[in-house]
Parts: sequence; C-alpha cells; structure tokens
Amino acid sequence: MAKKQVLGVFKTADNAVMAVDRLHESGFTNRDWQVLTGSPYPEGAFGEWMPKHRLYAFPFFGAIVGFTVAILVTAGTSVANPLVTGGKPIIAIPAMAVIVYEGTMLGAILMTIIGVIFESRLPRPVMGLYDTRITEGYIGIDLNCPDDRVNTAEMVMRQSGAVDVKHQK
Amino acid sequence: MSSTVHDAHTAHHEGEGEHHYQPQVLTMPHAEVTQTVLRVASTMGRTYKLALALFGGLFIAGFIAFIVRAQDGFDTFTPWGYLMATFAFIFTTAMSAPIFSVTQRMVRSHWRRPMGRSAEIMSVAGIVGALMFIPLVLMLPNAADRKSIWFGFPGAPHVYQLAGLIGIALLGMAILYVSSLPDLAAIRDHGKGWRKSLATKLAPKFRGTPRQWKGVKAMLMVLGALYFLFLIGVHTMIASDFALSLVPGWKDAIFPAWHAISGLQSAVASTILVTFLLYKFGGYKDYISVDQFWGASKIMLALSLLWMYFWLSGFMIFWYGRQPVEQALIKLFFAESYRFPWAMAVCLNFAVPFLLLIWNGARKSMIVPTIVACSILLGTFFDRIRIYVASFSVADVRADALHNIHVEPFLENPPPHLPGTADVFMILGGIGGAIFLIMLAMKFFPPISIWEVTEGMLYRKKKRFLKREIMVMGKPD
Amino acid sequence: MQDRVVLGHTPQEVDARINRELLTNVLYTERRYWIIVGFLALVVALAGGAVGYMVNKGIGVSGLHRPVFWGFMITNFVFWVGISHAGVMLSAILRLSQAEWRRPATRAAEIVTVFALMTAILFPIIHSGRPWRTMYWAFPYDFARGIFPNVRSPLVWDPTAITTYLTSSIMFVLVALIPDFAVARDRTKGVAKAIYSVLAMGWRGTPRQWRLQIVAGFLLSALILPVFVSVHSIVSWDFGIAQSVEGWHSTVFAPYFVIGAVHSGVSAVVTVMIILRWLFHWENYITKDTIDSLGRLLIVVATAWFFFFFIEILYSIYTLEDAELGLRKMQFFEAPYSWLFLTFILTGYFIPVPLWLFKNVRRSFKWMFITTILVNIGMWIERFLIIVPGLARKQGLTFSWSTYHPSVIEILLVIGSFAFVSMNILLISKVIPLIPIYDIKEGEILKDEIKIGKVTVPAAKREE
Repeated sequence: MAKKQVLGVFKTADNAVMAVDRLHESGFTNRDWQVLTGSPYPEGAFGEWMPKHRLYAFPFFGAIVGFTVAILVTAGTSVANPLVTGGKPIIAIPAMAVIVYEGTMLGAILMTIIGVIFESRLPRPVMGLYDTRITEGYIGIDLNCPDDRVNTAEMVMRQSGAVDVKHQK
Repeated sequence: MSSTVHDAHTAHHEGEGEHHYQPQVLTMPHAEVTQTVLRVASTMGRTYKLALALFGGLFIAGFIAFIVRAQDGFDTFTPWGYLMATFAFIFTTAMSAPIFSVTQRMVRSHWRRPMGRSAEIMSVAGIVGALMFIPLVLMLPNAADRKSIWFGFPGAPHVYQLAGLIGIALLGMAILYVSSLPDLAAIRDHGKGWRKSLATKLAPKFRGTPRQWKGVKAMLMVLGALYFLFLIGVHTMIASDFALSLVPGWKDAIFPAWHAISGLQSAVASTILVTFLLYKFGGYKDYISVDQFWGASKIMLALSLLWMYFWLSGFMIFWYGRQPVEQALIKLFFAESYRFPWAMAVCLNFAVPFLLLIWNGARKSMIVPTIVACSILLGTFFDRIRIYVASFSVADVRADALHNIHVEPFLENPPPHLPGTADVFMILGGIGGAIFLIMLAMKFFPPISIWEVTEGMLYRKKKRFLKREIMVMGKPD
Repeated sequence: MQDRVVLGHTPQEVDARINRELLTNVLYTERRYWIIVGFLALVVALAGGAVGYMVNKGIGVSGLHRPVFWGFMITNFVFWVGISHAGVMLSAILRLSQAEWRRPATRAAEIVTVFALMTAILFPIIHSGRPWRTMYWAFPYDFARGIFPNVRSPLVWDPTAITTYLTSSIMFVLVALIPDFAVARDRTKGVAKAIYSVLAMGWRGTPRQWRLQIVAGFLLSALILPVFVSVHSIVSWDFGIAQSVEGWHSTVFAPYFVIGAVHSGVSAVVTVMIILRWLFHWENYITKDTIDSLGRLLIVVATAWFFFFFIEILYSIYTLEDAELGLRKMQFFEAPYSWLFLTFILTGYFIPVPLWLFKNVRRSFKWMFITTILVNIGMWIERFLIIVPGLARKQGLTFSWSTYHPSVIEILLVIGSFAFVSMNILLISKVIPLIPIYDIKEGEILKDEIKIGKVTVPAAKREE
C-alpha cells in the first residue's frame, strides 16, 4: 500500500506526547513517525525511535588518510630535497611529527564534518512536509501513514490538540 | 543494594535503536547513609588486618634497610637515588592526591562527592614522606655557593625544602580534618569505643549550625587554594633542587611544571584506584557508581595528554638546540642510560591511558579507568626512578663540582644505576608504610564523606520529563 | 545566586522572542551599525594602503633593521594567534564540561577565533615584503630546481598548523550554524530565504539531526582542542628552537605561549561580548552571570599564566649566565623596555586579577570591559618584550647592538588589524546570529529548579 506523510503541529510537547500515545494505540509504532522540533530535546523525551549512527568511524578514517598523506608529503619532500640543515637527519622524525600531527588532525576533523552531514542525511533537496512554526517552539509529528489510514491519523492528531494537520498532496 | 538507590543503568525505551545512560541518584535517608558508612568504616575484617600487618612489616623492613644503607654514610648521592625516587613517587601520588578533591570541590562537581574523601585520606602518607625526606634534604649541599633557584638565600635549600614539604603534608591533613569534621561529629554521636572518644576530642563542638557549615565550607576553600599553590610550589622546588641543579648545564624551565602535571595525573590515578578498591572490597557499593570513574577518567585522559605535551615541549627545544649538553641530557634521560624506565613511562603514562581512554565506552566503566590508573602509577614509579636515580648518579660523577655546579656543563653519561637489595627494601618499605597509614586512617575517617554524599542528594533529583525520567541537577550559587 | 531571565510563559513566546532578539541584526539593521562598520572600513583601507606602499617601496619603509628583523608585524602575528585561542578553546572546553553558562558565549568566541586567525596569518605574509613569495617557502611543491620547502623549519610548520586550525574552526562554526540557518530560512523571504535554504541544507529538526549536532559538538570539541594547543606551541617554536637569540631557547615556551594565548583570548571574548551586548541589545542573553563565570575562569587562567611567566624568568636566570642576565636587565630595568615591562605586568596581571577577585567587579560590564582591555594591552606588550629585546641584544659577537623603532607604516598595520577583526565580526553578524539560537532554546527547555526547604535552587535537566 502507498504511504503518505501527515504532519501534525502541536503547541506543547505534552500534546505531542499525547498524540504519540494515541497513535500507538491506533496501531502505529515509533518507526512510523518522527518528531520535528526547533531545538534539541533530551533523548527519548517523546519515546522516539533513535537509529544508530556511525559518526565515530569517520574521524578514524580521516585520521588514517591525513596521517598517510602527511607522512608521504614530509618524507617525500625531504628525500627530494636532501639538504642537511643544522646537522639534523634528512628524515627528521621530531620535525616531521609536527606536520604529520596537523595532517592527522585535519583529516580527522574534515571527515567528522562530512560524517555529521552524511549521518544527518543532509543535504536534503526535497524537504518534505514541514511547518515554519517548528522553529518557533511548536512541535511537529511527522507520520508516515498508509493511504487508507490518513483520516484516522488526522483525527487522532486533532483530538490530541494539534493546531494544524498537513497532508502530503 | 539498597532499594532506594537508582542505580547507574542504561534505560531501554520501546523499540529504541540506542540506549541512554542515566546517572546514579541516591535517595536513601540520611540516617541510613550515616549508619552504613560508620558501620563499614569501624569494622576490620581478617584480610584487612593481614594486609595491615604485611604493609606494616614492609615498612619496618624498609626502615632496617635504610639503617643498613646509612652505615655507608651520606657523602655520595648515587646510593640514595632509589630512596629519593621512592619519596618522589609517594609525593607525586598519595601526597598529591588531595588536589583531586580540592579542584573538584572548587568546580562543584557532584560526581566527586563519594570519592573526594579517599583522596584526602591519602594525605596521611605525608608522614612517611616527611620521614624519608629529612635525610635526603640534609644531603643537599648549601645553596650559598652554587647556582640554584635560591640565589644564595640564607638557609637555602634545606629550610625552604623542609618547610615546603612539611607544609604540604600538614595542609593535606588539615583539609582531611576540616572536611571530616561533620563526619567526626557523627562518629562522636553514633560511634563506639576509641573511635568515639577520639572523635569527641577532634570534633567536640560541631553541631551543624548554618554558621558552622559556612565555616567548614569557607575553610575548605581557603585551605584548598593554599594547598594548590603549595603543591605546585613544592613540586617546583623538589624538581629543581633534587634533579635540575644536580645536573650541571641542565636548564629546563618546563621540567618543574611537567613534574607538577605528573603529580596531578597520579593524584587522579591514586584516587580512582582507591575508589575501585573501596567499591570492590570496601563495602561501599551503594555509594560508588560508574559516574565517579567516568568523570575522573576524562580528567585522567586530559592529564595524560598534557603529560606527553609538556615532555614534547621540552624535548623539541633540546633536540633542535643540539648543543653538547642538550645531547648529553637526551642520552642520559631518554636515549641511553635510563631508556628502559623512560620507555616504560611513555607506555604507561601516555600510550596506555590514551589508547584506552579515548573510547567513551571504556571511560564509562569501572574496570578500564582502574587499569589505566594502575598503569599510570606504575609508569610514574619508573619515571621517578629515571629522573632521580639518574640525577643523583650525575651528581656523583661531577662530585668535584658539587659546590660549584654549572661551572662546566655535564657531558659524561654515567651508566645506569641498578637497585641493590637494600634499595628494593627501601622502595617496598616506603610504599608499604604509606599504604599502611592510609589503610589505618580509613578505619577512623569514613572514606565516603557522609555529609557531602547526603548534601549531593539534595541537589540531584530524578524527574519525569515527557516520556522519560531525567536527572535534574541543582547548582547552588 | 544566579539571576535567571524569564523570556516568556509558553514555548512559543520564548522561541519567538529568542528568534526575534537574536536575529535582530540579521533581519533589521540599526543606523549606528553602518556608521561603525563604515569607520572601521576606512581604517582598514588606510592599513591596506600602508601594505601597498610597503610592497611598492620595499620593507625598508618599516622600522626593521639590523639586528631587529622581527618587530611589530611578528608581534602582531603572535598576538592575533593568541586571541584566536580564546574562541575555540572556550567553546570546546565549556561544551565538554557541559557548563550551562556557555550557551551565549560559544559562537561569538568561535567567530573571534576565525577572524583573529585570518588576520594573524596575513602578518607573516605582509612581513615577508614580497607576499607572493611566501608560497615558495610553505607550499610542498618544487617551484624551481627541485627545491622543496624544508620541513625541519618551523616556518613550514606555522602555515600547516594555522591552516589546520583555521579550516577546523570555520567548519566547527558552520556545522553548528545549520540549525540556525534553518531559523533564518523560516523567517526570511526572497533571495535571503533562498540563500538560507541552501545553507540550511533542508534541515527539519528531526531527533537524528539534533543527536548528530550534539555528538558533533562534543566530538569536534575534543578534536579541535589538541589542534589549538599545537598551534600556539608551534608559533612558540618559531622562537624556541633558535639557540642564537638570548631568551628564546626555553623549554617552557610552548605551554607558556598557549596559556598566555588563553589569557588574552578569553579576555578578548569578554570585551567582544560586552560590545555586542551593547550594540545589539542582548541584555537577556549576555547576563551578569555570563561575565561573572568568565571572570572566575580568567582568574584561574591568568594565575596559571603567571606561574609559567614566573618559571620562565626563574629558570632563565638561575644559571647566572652573563648573556641571559644582561637580557633580563635590559628587559626589566632599561628604558624604554622597563616602562613597557612595568605596563605589561601591571595591566596583564596585577591590576585585573586582584580586581576580578571582587564579585562586584566580575558582575560589572563596565569594569570587565576595562579590565579585559587592559589584559590585552599587557599581553600585546608581552609578545613585543619576548621578541624584540632578545633580537636587539642578540649575541655577544654581534657587531651592531641597536634597538627598534616602529615606523608609521607598522603602527598603521597594527591599528588596521584591530579594525579588520572588528569589521569582520560586525559584517558576519549581518549574516549569522552571533549567539547560537538553538543552544539558547535548548537551555530554556533544560532549565529547571529544585526546592530545598524555603530555597529554590536553579537547576538544569541533565542527560548524563
């Protein structure tokens, strides 16, 4: 069966929680809806489903890449231009360590940024159902609903105090 | 486990992909805390008694070894290197431990409440430390006719060294006394036997009036600030007089600061280890949770990184300087004579903490922070050997220059000085004596601060927030 | 006791007010804003002209000559690298320690970092006299005859470290801006809305997105802190690893520079926040509590800095070497350095820190503004005193002992750098909210209180 998005906009978090409870009573699970808020709420405040993320893997990968590139650049340029300065060895580990450290950290940080954007599933060319009041303190419950249950869902949301309910066209 | 303890746990939510951690919130009655802690602190099991006897015996053996070694006199430095290293180890670990309690109380962290007292109790090791320090300080040549941080002040370095060390030992014990005052009053009111009579003498008038509470807290702040300043100062003085100025040509401004950082790192490590032992074997399971280990291990990780950073900051300058004395110093302390203890120190004080504690899951456990704490303590022990045994052996190589150190830079690299039987017993005796005193003190001063734990209960509550339980934490002031 | 501002009685009132007040400058601009920006742009243009003049005429128009070849420009470089340490350090440490009072301070601090760093990096380039040639020394490419940059030289480390720090700081700010771009997207129309929509990348505020924001805040903080420490350490090694200049070859330089940077940087953040509060009417967000907490932090930082300053001096003179004693004598007792030293030590520590011990001073915007400005006067002079006297004496066999007099060009450059940073901060405030909107809103949600007897203690909901 085809599915449609239904967005309920609530004035208070308590109303949103009430809607969530009633949706569950109507047979929906927390995998069917997600809450949209204008600021972070403590995790689990709405009983929402929280998928796992793999952000922690990104900096490690970035660090390995950064480390390798920095080693190659520093060692490579030193060998390519073997000029002895101040009696130091050509491959001077303490000196190289500084650049390798920066390279490693840069790699880790850049990959973390990419990871955050990727894991947040951004950029999102099509936003889907949304209401600008969400950034003004309203709470949105975005329900993924089978076609034939849209009316039920809307009724549940309105009964729970939704100030507005929007449907996907 | 008391039914009124909300244990640290991971809460599960319906169909949730991940769990979230909930900190421990104690809700038991004040009277229950007082009774339990006083009961546990006043009973001594068979194993405890055996351990006390063992460490007491080691202390006596160490003292005998000291007498034996003293027969050869105090004219040369080398034979006393291991005694110095042991003293420095006790100073860096147990004697520096109260700094953990002091700083955490200043930043008003709640998780430190059950572990601050054990850090303060370790200050009693200052008694053993002071005993070991007296002969060592008397060995130092007068600062009047040599180059040192004292610039020929009268009485330097002996008077200032002794004043500094005794000062820090007394300050540590003063913090222990003031912070225990309300708990001593509880022993006075509910204890038995010698504990009751001693507590009555120590806390005769504490009744818990607002004025008295304010006084206790203000005193702790003042003593804490003084302790902090003194601790950094004494680390600086000891590092200067017993290492830097004994090695001709060693000019290293970061070394004393690095010594102090090592002290802070070891202070946290000692406290974590003792807290774990109290949890596992001490009978205080209701009051200690993973929160304490989690909070402290973050600090331990930061200090381990700083430990390495401070060392590297100094090393880079020497490595780049490449002056003969700088090369000799690198060979002595890191690359040749004492490279084994140095390698151990790098592994145990930096690599192990770094590789284990970067993982949040590891920090959020009891066992990993404890393993890291043991690693740091062992590493610090090797490191003190590296610093002081090496410095003492150089002082002898350059014995002719003792009264005019720095006239000629140090260039010769003495061979590593290995410990003899007497050294081994002095090491065991020193450390055993410190542990003996700490264990003894824990049977009088409650190792869990009753008043701070119960105060913490006022400021940490569990509350329902929408569909989950959440902790609400009050920050007074 | 904390003074809490009530922003509204319903979540909508609170959020609408936060949006309105914190997007003030983005959505509506007061006339005085443009007057200030215009004035700063004029000063920047003058400094730009000075750079052009120097490039045209050569470095000889500066006051640099034998033996002092590092003067105002390098001092200014070190100073601005120092200021850049405020931001991210403050933001990162406070995020990691979950200090509630961090919320209004983090973004402004990060922005100070970004622009201070951009300004800092300009100075060695300008100082080279032929700015385009700096690429040959820093970029790992053989522009001619197989001569690659020498990785053993700290002059290669500097650009590496600063580029890493600058890139990281910009990314740190941008990631945290995504939710606030969404707020701006929802409140603007036309072209502005289109631009903010692109910048917000389709942000909706799902739990996953918020979760990632929070985790990223912690993770990036933990990753940027070691970078921030490394940057000023590397700058310190520009001096430290040279053994030929008296007073520079000191093992304590790296942490001494870092803690000095934090001291001047946090002070600069306080100054900037007080100015922004006045300019944009942010009385509800930058409160007495905020500057009180920063004042307490400053006491600790300043005292730690003083300890490093003390041991740096102590261990440089304890070996009683003539050259070192001569340098210190010159720094402390011979004019004009003695006057500079006195000004530095008074303004850098002995005037502000005792004042900060008083709660009334810490909670006074006027006094905190004055004292933090004083700190930065002192810390600028500190950098000058580290760099110039050592070069002026250099070494025993140098054949020309001479002091240094900055030229008008260099003075203009220094003044211009302050105008450049200020102008950029004001310009960016036209595009982004300088107080993180979502962070303030989160603080409002987590705000709570505990009743103990007759007292109500301010509290916060904590997840961990």
